[in-house]
Amino acid sequence: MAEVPDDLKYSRSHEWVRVKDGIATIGITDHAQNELTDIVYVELPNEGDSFEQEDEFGVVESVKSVSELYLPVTGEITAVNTELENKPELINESPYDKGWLVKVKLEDESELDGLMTPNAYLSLTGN
Amino acid sequence: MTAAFFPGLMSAAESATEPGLLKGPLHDLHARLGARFVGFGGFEMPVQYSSIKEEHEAVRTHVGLFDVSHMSNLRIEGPGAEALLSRTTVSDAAKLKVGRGVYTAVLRDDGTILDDTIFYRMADDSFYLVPNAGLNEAVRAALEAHADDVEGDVTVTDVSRATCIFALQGPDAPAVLKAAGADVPDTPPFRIHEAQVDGAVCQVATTGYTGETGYELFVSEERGPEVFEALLDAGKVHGIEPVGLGARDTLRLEMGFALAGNEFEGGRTPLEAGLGWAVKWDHDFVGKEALVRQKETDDHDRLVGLELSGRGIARHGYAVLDGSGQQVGIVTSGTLSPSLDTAIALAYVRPGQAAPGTEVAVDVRGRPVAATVAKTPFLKRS
Repeated sequence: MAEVPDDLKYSRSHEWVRVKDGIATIGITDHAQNELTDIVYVELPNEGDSFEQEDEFGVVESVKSVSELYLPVTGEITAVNTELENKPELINESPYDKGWLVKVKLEDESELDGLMTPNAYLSLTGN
Repeated sequence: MTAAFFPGLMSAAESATEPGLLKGPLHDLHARLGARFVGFGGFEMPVQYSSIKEEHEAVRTHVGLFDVSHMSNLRIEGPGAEALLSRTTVSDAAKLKVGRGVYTAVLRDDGTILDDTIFYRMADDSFYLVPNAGLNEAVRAALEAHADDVEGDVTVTDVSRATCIFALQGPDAPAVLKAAGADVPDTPPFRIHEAQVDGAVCQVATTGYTGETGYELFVSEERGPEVFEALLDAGKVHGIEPVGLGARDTLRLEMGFALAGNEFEGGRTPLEAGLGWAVKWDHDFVGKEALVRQKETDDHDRLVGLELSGRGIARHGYAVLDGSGQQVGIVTSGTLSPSLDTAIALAYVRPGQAAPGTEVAVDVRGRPVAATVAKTPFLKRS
């Protein structure tokens, strides 16, 4: 069964958000990595790029599929997990920790209220 | 995150909503083995069990077992069978001895490939043809349309639903087949023998789609599940793994083998698809005139291998660009090669771009990624 940590917010498109001091760390969920399996390639934005909520900000590719990533919050990219360039499998191995994708400077904290709670995400993914 | 799956590999979510997908006779067994399913050629088939990379590796280093019962099976029988196959395929069936098979193509009148297939000669007047998944009716119709052109009666019987096909592939495949009790002589590829596995009569062909040593086994639908399990049991000591369509795709792509739904999409001739070697020109066959004309003008696209040197993976439908950014081709299949850890692809390119070593680029979602035309197979075997 896929892990859904209690302290995160979730998007319908299977990204997770962890907020600390106005910075949101974004990744894809355990359920998502499990569905994709063997992630072999990740394309991420550059630091300083800005996105609106629900903008496409990158892709993850498994052997058999390309999946677009959507930013759950509006803001500027303050950090990118460059380790994924050579080790995309970190997303499979550690989706909520070493497999994080980007950090975003939150522009509008109220956007977080529109995201899903762990329970809502659990029922979305049928666990 | 929204996933786009590649042609032939529909996502489980999509296939679940597609009505009318057939469940093969091994569906329950695959589910017990932990399979995830996809829609392919009208069937719900296993795309993977453990992981595509792991299953791929199992076939390259020891042995894997595939259920490919979604493929079609036609029997062509009667005094006119040989002439009908010569008329409707690019091969000369008269040259084929009993117990042997040949890789061929069934063409449309305009020379484009309706299907690529293998047919075997089982007896003087009896042949067995294996069309791709979902193409049984189209190929049967293409054959029957010419039944009156040939002398001698001939019947085409579709036994697709009554037959299971399994592919046992990998360096340890001969040992596993032997351990399963099948007495099959050590022969070159494209031979077919009758043998028993677990007491069930199978036709065992020395063919495959992986580039490895191996077999394709044809067995009745009733005995299929037990034969599949018997092969898994016999292979346990060799670390056998059930393998899904995901790894089947990466394995064939490393060898540069065409997949009907991808490489023949939109109408491609054997000359374009690099299958000119399979065409026997000294007999008459459907599509020959168009093919002869294309051979004379020699200005057609060519299917080539691409190795990407920049970061990114070429996928079905991506444009191939020349140095000035002009489109000179289109990708038909692409993946990250598990064995080579390089992004590889098959693509149709204009004739001037087809020589090995030609530098091109692939438009990966708006970003040109450097690539080189490469000889196939990508995976060089010693």
